[in-house]
Amino acid sequence: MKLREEPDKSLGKAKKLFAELYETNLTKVYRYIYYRVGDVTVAEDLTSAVFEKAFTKFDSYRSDKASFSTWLFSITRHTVIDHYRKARHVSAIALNPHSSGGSGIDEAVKWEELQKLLFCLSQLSELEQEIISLKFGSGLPNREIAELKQLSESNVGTILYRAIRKLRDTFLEGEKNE
Amino acid sequence: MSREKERAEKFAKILDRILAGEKVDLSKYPSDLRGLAKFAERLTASQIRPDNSFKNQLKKRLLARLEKEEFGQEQGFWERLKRIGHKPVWQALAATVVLILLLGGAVWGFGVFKPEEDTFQQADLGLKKFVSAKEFKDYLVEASALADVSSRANVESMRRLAAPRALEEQAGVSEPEGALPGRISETTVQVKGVDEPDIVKTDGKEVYFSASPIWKILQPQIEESQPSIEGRMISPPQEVPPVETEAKTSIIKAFPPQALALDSKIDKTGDLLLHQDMLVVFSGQEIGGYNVSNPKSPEKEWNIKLEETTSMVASRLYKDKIYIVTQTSINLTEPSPIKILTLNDVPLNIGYKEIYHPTVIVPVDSTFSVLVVDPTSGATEKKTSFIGSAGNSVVYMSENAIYVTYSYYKSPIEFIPAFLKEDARDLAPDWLIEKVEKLESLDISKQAKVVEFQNLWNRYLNSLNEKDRVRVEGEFSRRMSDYHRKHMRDLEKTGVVKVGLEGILVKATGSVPGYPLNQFALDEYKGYLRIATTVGERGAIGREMLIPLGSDQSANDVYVLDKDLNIRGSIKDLGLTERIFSARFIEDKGYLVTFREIDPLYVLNLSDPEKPKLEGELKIPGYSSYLQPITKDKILGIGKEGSRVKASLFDVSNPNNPKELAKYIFEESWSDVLETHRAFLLDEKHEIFFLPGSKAGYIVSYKNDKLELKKAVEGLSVRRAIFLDDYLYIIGDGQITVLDEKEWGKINELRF
Repeated sequence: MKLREEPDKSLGKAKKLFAELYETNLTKVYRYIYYRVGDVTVAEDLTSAVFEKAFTKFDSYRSDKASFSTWLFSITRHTVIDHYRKARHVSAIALNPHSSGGSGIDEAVKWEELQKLLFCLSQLSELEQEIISLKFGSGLPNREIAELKQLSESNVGTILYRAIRKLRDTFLEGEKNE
Repeated sequence: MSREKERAEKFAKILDRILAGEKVDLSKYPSDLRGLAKFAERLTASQIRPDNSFKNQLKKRLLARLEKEEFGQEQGFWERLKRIGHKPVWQALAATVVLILLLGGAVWGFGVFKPEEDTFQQADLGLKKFVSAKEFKDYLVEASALADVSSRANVESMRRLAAPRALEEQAGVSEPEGALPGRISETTVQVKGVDEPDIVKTDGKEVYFSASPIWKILQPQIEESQPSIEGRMISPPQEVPPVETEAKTSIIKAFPPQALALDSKIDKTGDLLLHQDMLVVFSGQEIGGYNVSNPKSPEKEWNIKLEETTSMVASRLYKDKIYIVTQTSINLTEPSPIKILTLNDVPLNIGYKEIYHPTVIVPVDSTFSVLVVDPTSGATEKKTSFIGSAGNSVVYMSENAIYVTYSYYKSPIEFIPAFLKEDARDLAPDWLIEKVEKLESLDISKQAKVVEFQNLWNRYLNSLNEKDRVRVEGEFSRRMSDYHRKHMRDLEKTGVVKVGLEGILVKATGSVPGYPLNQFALDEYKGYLRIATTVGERGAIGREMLIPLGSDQSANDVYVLDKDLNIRGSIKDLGLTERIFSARFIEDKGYLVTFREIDPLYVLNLSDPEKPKLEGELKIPGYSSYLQPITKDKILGIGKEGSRVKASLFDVSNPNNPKELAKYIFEESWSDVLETHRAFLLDEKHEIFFLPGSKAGYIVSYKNDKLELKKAVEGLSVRRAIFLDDYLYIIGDGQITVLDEKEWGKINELRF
């Protein structure tokens, strides 16, 4: 294999690139999945799956066709969709704070806030959930979300705007009732 | 643009800044946006992060597998990774600057530009007014069907980030009165003598400053925020003490600098135009005229309210008149008369007989109006209207005419059937093609057809196994890209309407492929109009297209149009795969900065129009989003390199060898100059320029071809600077600092 013929120095550079690639994208992918599945363990499993797939399919990535993150996120989305296909009986968001307390956010208050958010998120439409997850989970620009969702950028903006309004209203409503 | 869309757009911008960890000053926004933004901040504060041990274990596992070559790469994983490694996947952004020199006569030698090579059909140049209300309505019904997928507002907002710049005018105004300074700076504008609205104006005595809704970015205050727990949380942004709780326009006595004092405040805020004693404030949907002859007690003389369906596109001040361009959404049920605004509660309407339309039907969802307004009374003296499509309008005003552009593009549904049949027959099953054909003939909107096609396509994809799905998707996308590249000049166009200043009559209409970046992409010289456009950028059609297109679609063209807006010459395919970041035409030369990811700088010599040729190439990192001519041979570019603001000084005296003489990188991620040329100030006498950053205002000398920081004025957020005589006034929210331009010492300071 070519790998063996490469001088170590050059391999080191490639490894550095790999590390960068991994660092920049891991959190984004993980957060998106977490927002979609609401469970740390599942999110970790699916995140691993996404990266394994990405490197298995790395041959098919064309850097001139799409940015790496767009490409990676299309894999991520399909992975989540497949997850739900396989587990149809599982409700869209499995709220299970106990299974994940230790590995996510430590601070109890933040954790509670996040759980509330996930619950309110589950009240939104599928499309809204996904766009919010891409935005808040992964911080993707609207342009990239538009590309992934095959919508126009201004559509994404409007959907996001409406969705956050709804989300806030249910969120604050819940707080009032507490 | 609908109110909601406008709000959504604004919100999207705020949100991106919040998510980037920036500290956004929310006090300037309406309460609904503020509320949403606060909620968004709260959400980001409770972001989750992957557990560190999970992160490290996964990394180890992946690396181990890669090293054992378990991922079965044909080519070798590391090999491929290295090959894409230098690309900007990891934000290794660099720039391309294309300087096109339309050297002597190049532009005017139309005969040799071979306009017959233009493949697109020029949308008709014929122009008529409507003769009956029914004709108007019928036209609209047909035209609005064309327009429904063509809103480009989002693209424009992106483009606004990249505004180029203008010639500074600073002829010494020698007033007889002793109290007036000998030199008075003016707002940086595109065309000398045609004033543009901005948040700061001065008449030499007073400074008028509006804490306007231009976006201010405050640095994320990381060191002051609460300690994060193992870096897992972004703590909620701190409140920044608001400089002005209510946005107001301040009138400040400014000259001589020792007399610096606040005169009064006006309760409205926005862009300003100043004509003699009248200060005009463009405040959202309202325009107010204030008599400021007594600066201590300004009096409101008139008030214009734009109708809800009307929005401001642009305004200018030229030879004692204010020119206002508005855009009004068309009400299909009751199209006529079009209600534009009220002046002191008296409505100004436009009947169908006053509206121009092209003789063929182009996508239409808006009426544009050009109004000539008397600054003293607010009265509309002349007006004209024409129809076009909303979303992405650029207004350029020369001394002779106002040019209004609007962009539109073909809906994918108009070419998908042809594409499927011609180029993708083997990818789509018969039932899909049949359905698409049926879809074509349905009497429903194009948007609905696109959605329906999307459903069909997804249904088909979902019926495939993963391997086939990936193959079909990839192949479809690839061929669609090819198709798009082949036809891109037919798919996206910009209509241009020329309104002559004399009589305010529509003189001509025309169209060019692609879209212009901003006002600087248009320029009139010796009766000819030059337009620089970006064609086929995937943002435009790709986004409407169901499959993401490749990013290597775009090209940049320059078109030369005669006085009737017929295309007479063109230069095509500049900066392939890139898009225009800034343009500037100066007499018979043109400068174009394009940018995407790789970074050759081309210099094209077009002095022989038959043989335009590449004369020089220079690689520079970063880009300029704004070009300022300094002298005949020198151009200053303001832009970014990496994430920081950069200024570059180019020597363009030898087109064979354009040089970057000097560059200066600011410790700043943002300057208002990146958004508007009006934030820039050039003082040729002292050979300095000023630009506001988010931490300070910077004064940079360009003397002796060096860029050298003379002074950075820190403090409250700096917005603009002006000069009066040899004093430089640095104006920030709630504070003015006056510097002596010879020694750069502080002369006076005012908090207001």
